[in-house]
Amino acid sequence: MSLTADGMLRDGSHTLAETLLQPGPMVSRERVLLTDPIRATLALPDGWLELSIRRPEVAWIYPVLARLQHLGSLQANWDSHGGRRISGDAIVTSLHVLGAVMEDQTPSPWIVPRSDGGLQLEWHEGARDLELLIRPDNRVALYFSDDSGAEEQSESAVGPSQTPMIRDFLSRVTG
Amino acid sequence: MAGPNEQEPDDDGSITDEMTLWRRISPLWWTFDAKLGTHRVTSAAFEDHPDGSSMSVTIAEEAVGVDVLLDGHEGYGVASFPARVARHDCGQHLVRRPLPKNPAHAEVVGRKTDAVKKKLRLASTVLVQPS
Repeated sequence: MSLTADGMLRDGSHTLAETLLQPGPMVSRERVLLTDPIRATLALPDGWLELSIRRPEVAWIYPVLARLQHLGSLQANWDSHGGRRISGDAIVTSLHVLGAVMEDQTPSPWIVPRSDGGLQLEWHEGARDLELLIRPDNRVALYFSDDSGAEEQSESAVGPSQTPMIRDFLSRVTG
Repeated sequence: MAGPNEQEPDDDGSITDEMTLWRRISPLWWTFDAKLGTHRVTSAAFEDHPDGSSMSVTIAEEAVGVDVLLDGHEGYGVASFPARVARHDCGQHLVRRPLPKNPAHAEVVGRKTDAVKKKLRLASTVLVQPS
């Protein structure tokens, strides 16, 4: 296929437009709109996770997915101190939490593995720190500290009731 | 680390407050802070071992060199913090646990709360940058 002087793509004796306009065999195709969610698959240590990503995609989604994919592939003793493999539950829980609390313009978290097989989501701005510890058993611990040295922490099972509190702390760090 | 029915080992005063402790840090525990222009270590790097043993460190003043921590650990970095911070600011006991290949090996024994881990993070400097 070549590009002709008149700006048309040519394949043999037909322009691309001519080729497309030629009647072809009737094939039923699924109708896909450009606004339809993007379907993606994330490999987990113990299986797969099917994802549906809303368009337009938020800026943080692909870096986060790439990081989680990488952390999920770590082998035991990845830290040289006997660290456990990252649990699939911790990855799924992290995505649930981020999906619930992140806005379009929220900075991406720094995602680090924990030796116990959990994950840690961190945001830092100057002396303000927010750390969400996603434990392998799906409990989430929150640790916040600010410029004044004030510290707050809590721990509970994952649930919608946590969302407002995490959003509040997140805005205090990134806002 | 001492189990629930075991007594926590005594703090070893021969590891003095003036000494420096080195900790080998996985490349996954560092991030580059563009504002500060340096690498930053996460508090997750200051946990006890998942098997229950306490956090490993090396006593800098007694180590043959920093290479002993990095042998076979390509890409790793080393963080350095004062023994005084671990003992007095974080309430940890410092205990010698010599290893055949690293006689200067020790453990930082005690509960690693979020506040303790943050203090250790803030007290740490980058001795060897991760690559």
